[in-house]
Amino acid sequence: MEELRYFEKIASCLDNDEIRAWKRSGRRVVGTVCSNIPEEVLQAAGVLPVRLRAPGLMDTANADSHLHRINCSYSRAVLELLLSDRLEFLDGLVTTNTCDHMLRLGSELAANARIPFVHYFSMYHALGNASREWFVMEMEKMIAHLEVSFATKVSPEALQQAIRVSERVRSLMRRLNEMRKKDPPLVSGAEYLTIALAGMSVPKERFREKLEALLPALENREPRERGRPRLMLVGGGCDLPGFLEFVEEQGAWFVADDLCFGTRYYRGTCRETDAGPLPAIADRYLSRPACPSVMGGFDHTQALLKGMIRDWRVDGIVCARLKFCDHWAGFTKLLTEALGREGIPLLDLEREYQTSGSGQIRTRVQAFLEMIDS
Amino acid sequence: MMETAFQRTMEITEGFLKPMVDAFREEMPPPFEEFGHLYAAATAENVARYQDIAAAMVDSRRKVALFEFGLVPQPFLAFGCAALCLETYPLFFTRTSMDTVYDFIEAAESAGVSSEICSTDRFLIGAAVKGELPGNSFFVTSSSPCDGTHVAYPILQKMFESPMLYLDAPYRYDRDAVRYYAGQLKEQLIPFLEGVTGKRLDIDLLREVVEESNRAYEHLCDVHDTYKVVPAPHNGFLRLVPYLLYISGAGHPGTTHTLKLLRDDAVRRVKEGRTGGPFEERHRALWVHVTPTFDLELFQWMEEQLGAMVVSNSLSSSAILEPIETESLESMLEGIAWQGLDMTMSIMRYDTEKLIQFSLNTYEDYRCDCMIVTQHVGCKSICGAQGMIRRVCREREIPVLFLEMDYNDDRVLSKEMLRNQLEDFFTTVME
Ligand code: SF4
Ligand code: SF4
Repeated sequence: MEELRYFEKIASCLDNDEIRAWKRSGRRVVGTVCSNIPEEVLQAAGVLPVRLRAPGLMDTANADSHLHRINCSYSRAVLELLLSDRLEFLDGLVTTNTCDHMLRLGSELAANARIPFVHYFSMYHALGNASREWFVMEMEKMIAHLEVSFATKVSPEALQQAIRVSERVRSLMRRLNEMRKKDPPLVSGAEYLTIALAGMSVPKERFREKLEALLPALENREPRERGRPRLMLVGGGCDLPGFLEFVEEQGAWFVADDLCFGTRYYRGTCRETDAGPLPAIADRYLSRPACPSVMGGFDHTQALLKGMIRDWRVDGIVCARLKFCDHWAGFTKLLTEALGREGIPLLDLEREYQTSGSGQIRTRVQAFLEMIDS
Repeated sequence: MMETAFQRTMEITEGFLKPMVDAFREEMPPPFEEFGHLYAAATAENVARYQDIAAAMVDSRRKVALFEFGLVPQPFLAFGCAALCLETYPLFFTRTSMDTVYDFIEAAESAGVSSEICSTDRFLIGAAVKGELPGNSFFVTSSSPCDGTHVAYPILQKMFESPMLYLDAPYRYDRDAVRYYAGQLKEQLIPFLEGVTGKRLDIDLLREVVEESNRAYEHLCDVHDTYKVVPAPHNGFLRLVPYLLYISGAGHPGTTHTLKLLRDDAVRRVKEGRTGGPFEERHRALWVHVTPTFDLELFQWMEEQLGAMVVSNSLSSSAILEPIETESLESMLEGIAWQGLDMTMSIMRYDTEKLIQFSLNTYEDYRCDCMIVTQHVGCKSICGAQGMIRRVCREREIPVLFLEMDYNDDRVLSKEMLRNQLEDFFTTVME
């Protein structure tokens, strides 16, 4: 579809024309490694946050000698980007400790980056009041570091403005997500992910304009094949539209997802309260389905996922998780049991970060779809 | 098949460990005759801890606290609970019954737990599947040190349906972070313990427990200090004991007493200039991360065959140098928080640079001449630190051996293969 070209181009590489234009105007770009890093804070500092991905990267030989083969292929891919000088366009990096892989990746990035700003954003790992307090403290630390490194000031007004811009984007993405409720969905899972990825790679205002232009075209689209099984995709380190396309080609639609490169990134609403912008930002992050790295978050996440299963009329779940990712392995076990009790099937697909398809995946998906159909 | 809770543990405690205490006392085999009483005391203390748990299981006025690295026993003892640090539980079996270890690990995997997850966590889940974990219990876990913990405890909670409290361990290392954690002990742990035990916090009782643990802590620091002497007193196996005793029993008078015995013996040897032997000390190794737990005689073999003493281990080289301040509830909780965060495997939450600096400090303090680093196959954290450790060791010309193994499971790297690699290292790199 012609209107999707822009998004496809942006999603197909890490660096892009929008980033180059941003830099030409003298502004800075900071790479982030996790959807839990509060981008509003970076935006308020006048910085463009870009979620790091490694489209097309097939080899992680340099990174493999720094990290370990049991570190997930996403973390090794990000390090490879740095070691092979593909992050030269960045002025900064924000690392985090979502998981052990990320913690060690963060240290490697800090040790090897020739970039003026490398900030460690320390994630909470248990849901509750304490985590909100911690999240706010971490944002304050990041603000202080940004202000010193980039000789800037992050004012409450700038934060409010960043929240407003992000909220506009989120509400458009919700509209897009609503289109997936139809049968057949107006956007495929692969298309949705492509659009979602573009939103993590360009200035938010620019993305909003492009999205506003795209949505009517999608809403008036010719309907496609009806009656295919409706799937939801969950998992970690999944940013390859080609993988979703591969699965959909077997005769299904991904009508919903909880990917941190997908819906989760846009999920929730930031409600401004008297407490100020930082607690409001924290509350949105805490209200989203919890990353499996967050202890005590399973019941909360499960309830949100069940709501999506109901509202998007999902027939089955595909969990695409990366090899060696303990968090998703544990979460998948719990989710399989919880959904199994309600008769909702789950297909557990272990993959590497760059895997878009394989004979084995095809066979397993086909068997899963047959099982749903029967 | 579900078994009676804690049955295998008590069979081993009563049928194997208790007789061992007597054997150590009566006739310790050469060349360790002089140390028999220390082995006996440490084993007896272990027996006492497990007996206490068994007693609390059937006592309606008590509970068993199943707690995780990231915490220390004192708060649980102050509520009259028996306490079991779950991360030390596999050790009990790797040293006494490997078949049980295999059995539990396989039970976890059959229940759908990925074989890539740390064997400590698989063991614990397997113990729950098999019904071995003590009843009349509750769980308290922190979110450190690793992904394995994050995965295991929610699964245990669903399986066991016991009360469980999750605490957020800060992945920062300053006093503010300690205070943040201590705040949760006050706002969450204390009310939780009051709820599960039906008792109100008695601050005087907490102070008593903490003071007891402070006495033990001083002995722990003293005895560790003696290992800085060249040659170091005691053998590698005995050197692991003080730390494990503290982590499992801080606050128990018995633990204090046993630590004092170890301390007095080591200090006396230093004073008398009798620290060497029974084997010649030619190398002093720092072991980074957990040592293999399934090879009981490994250290003796290293000392005898290779002249290599493991003088310290990065988990037991305690990051803290102050006892707990007992002035107020807040100060006690802060001290407990600090111990939980920086004296246990929670140090694995350190960023790699800090982890290395911590190890280097220990390396210097204990006057080591080489490092052995466990690359535990399920531990994404220590494995992910490999590259930076290797680079730093190269820069500083520190000989280092990385051992790919599973510290609980000898099916990954057998005793023989493990010893072969150590032998190669000490006879080539270190000669
Ligand atoms: S996919 Fe899993 S292991 Fe990889 S970065 Fe994400 S949470 Fe960590
Ligand atoms: S060895 Fe590593 S993975 Fe296992 S419990 Fe310790 S920190 Fe966690």
